[in-house]
Amino acid sequence: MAGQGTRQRPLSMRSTDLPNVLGPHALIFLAATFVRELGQEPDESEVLSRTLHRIFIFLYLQFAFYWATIAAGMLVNYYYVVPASLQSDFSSILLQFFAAPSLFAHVTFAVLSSSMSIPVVIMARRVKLSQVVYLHAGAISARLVGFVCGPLFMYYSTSAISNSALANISTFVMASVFLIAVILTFLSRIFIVREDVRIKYGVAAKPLMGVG
Amino acid sequence: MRKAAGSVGTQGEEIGSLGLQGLRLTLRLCYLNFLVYLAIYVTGMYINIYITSGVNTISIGDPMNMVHMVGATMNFAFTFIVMVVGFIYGMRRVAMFSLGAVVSLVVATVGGLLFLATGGGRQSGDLTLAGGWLMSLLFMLALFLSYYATLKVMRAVRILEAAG
Repeated sequence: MAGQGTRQRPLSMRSTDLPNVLGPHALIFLAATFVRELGQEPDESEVLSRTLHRIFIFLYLQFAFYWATIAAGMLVNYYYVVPASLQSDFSSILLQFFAAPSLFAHVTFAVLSSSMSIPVVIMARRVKLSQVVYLHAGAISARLVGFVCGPLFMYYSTSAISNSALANISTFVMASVFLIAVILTFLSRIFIVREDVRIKYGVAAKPLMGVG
Repeated sequence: MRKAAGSVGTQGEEIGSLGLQGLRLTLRLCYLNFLVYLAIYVTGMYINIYITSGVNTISIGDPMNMVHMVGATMNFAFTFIVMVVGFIYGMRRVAMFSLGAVVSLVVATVGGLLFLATGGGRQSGDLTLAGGWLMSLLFMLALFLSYYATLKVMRAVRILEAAG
């Protein structure tokens, strides 16, 4: 029988078998392939996975700062009283943020929490996660409204204005928009997890609303 | 705890043995839980800003307080169910996050009751404020832990969908 007792060529030929078959031209081909592979950028899914990992880190930081904002907000809520000497002008109100440690901590953590959305937006744009970009843009916008309502609360609480109804509404709006910002950032993570699963398992996941 | 159903290419992932339909149902429960969290956050804010601001106090029979407490009870029930599902169907992380949320909610409820029992106002003394602190911070912690449990359930759903 043909081939019996002799070593048969495997069905799938390896690249190292090429020089034996094709001679020196194959060596040139292999060298060219090697050089091309060296210069090649990492796999697209690998880059995406790495970027998603970085986004996760910023989201963890964002939630930590949000929690710190809440804790500092509690301090403000229970222990801070707007001083009777506070003037109802912009500079006095701005300086007041530096005068009380609890207020300063509250605002600082709120700014830090909000600023974490910026790298998330940049990275999400890079990997074309448009839903994440929009959700974080929405979160930043919601927080900006909160940053207006906070000083407004102080303005309406000054002895010159002393409008408790508007001061209460300002606080309520401030807390509500911060909550909306948190919900939006929470939702963004759902899309990131979806993308992470998609690149790991290579199958396009179904739309979110179809599941929930 | 039951062993997770072995799926090709899902090493290191917690998909449990509940199956896709069960996981989807659990995910819906998690979303419902978030709506309740939202409701008690808003009622809590309302109480804090409009009822207990200044020298006013709140009692356990106040309608808004009752809504707030019913919401907290629903949160506890939903989180407890997710925790049990996690333990029974081999999703350890879901179970542990939910367990943390359940413990946080219980201690937060004790804090809330302390707030009510010791006066129910911001001027009622240090113990009242301590109760308020405990309630608010642990409620937020429970919210975060429930959120992470939800993400794990959602991830399991996505993986099962992707694996077919």
